[in-house]
Amino acid sequence: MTASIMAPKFTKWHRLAAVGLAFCVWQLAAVLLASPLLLVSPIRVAQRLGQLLFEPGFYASVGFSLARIAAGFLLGLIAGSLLAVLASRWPLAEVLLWPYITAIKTTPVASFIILCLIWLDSANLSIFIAFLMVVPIVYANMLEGIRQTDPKLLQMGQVFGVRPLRRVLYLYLPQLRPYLLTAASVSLGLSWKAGIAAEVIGIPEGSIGERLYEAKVYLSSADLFAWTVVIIAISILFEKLFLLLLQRGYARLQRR
Amino acid sequence: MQDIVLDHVCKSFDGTPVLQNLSTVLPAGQITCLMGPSGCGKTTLVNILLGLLPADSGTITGLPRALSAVFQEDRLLEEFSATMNAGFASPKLPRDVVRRHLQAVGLADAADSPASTLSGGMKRRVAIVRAVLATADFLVLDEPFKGLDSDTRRLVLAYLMAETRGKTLLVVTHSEREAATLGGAVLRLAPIAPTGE
Repeated sequence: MTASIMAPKFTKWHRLAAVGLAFCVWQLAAVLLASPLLLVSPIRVAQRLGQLLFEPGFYASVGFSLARIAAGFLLGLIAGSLLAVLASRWPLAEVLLWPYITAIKTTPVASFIILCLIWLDSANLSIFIAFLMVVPIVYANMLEGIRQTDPKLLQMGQVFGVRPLRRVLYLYLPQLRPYLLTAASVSLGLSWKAGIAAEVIGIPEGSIGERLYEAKVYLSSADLFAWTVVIIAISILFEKLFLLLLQRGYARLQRR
Repeated sequence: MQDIVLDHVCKSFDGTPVLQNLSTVLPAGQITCLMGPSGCGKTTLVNILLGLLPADSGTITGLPRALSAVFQEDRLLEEFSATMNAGFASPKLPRDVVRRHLQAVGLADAADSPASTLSGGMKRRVAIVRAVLATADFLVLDEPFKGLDSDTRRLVLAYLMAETRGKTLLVVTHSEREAATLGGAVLRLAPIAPTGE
């Protein structure tokens, strides 16, 4: 007699219920600790978040950080992709890039942030840090994707004398899709975390990082948690928007 | 358009000769059927003519710059429609022209279907239309009728003959009957016998 092992099926409702349960655990822990400084309750965080949404400067801070981190992410995406193309065509380029990519991957973000504070204006620090976090991830994924492109399709393009732009659009891009989606999905979250960390250390005026720093200085756990919720929400929304645009771009390409 | 002349073309892989002093002429504007048992170098010769492999020695003259091919595998872009695939090598052709060609090979209803949803025979026909529509005077067709039933084969053969008149064709085939139907010269390759020590 053989037993079949089936993975349990969980729907999004199960996951929502798990989130709800986590909030209940959080609320219970806050009540038991009875110290808002140590652990503020989710209800208090929600109240503070509600207040923040109507405070002057809230949207300016969100816009400040969003613009810079998004710019860093997009620049990193482009740079990582171009470097991958370079490395795929010239093995020497891959060897020459290796120490830089490895250094970026292995160096702690905080080290980069402090180093960059010497070179850069704190207002633009998050652009560069987000860029640095994205480049190695995109580079590695895109390089692998280029290398996995079906050589027979490339030969077909070569025989028919297909122009380079058409090869990129119709031969490479469709096959790079899973690699691009993975790279974008992983690096989006990382760029946000690193970008905000850069702002907390650099404290550029008008940024979300500055607000987090102030929450720490004034020992306001509610503010800290509320702004963290804001960061998470923006990160998720930006990721969904970007991936949606990417999917739509591909759908449009396929309809040609 | 000139004759394509192969003069003492040689190609080896890891020291094993596959083509040895192959000299032949592919007459301009005519069909040549390439035949021979497996391993005799047909695919190697095709790849050399298509510029995918360099010959070790020998010369090939008269090869036009623009080439076209039906490969042994269909090599279609699976996410894109039959129309898009068929017109891939000729982007300036209007869509309705491409659709008319697909209609001529019995694919009118599948014109907008993604290549991934097409049967083997349908994919083959798309690949043939793509090769025909490419602006090239020299076409290499590697077993073009593979996977086609007899009725479809007749339809596609008639289409091919009509659309490639005046072009130089090299057709790889295992079928004597097919070679006879296509007409033209037959170039037979034989495996190279290993030399004794």
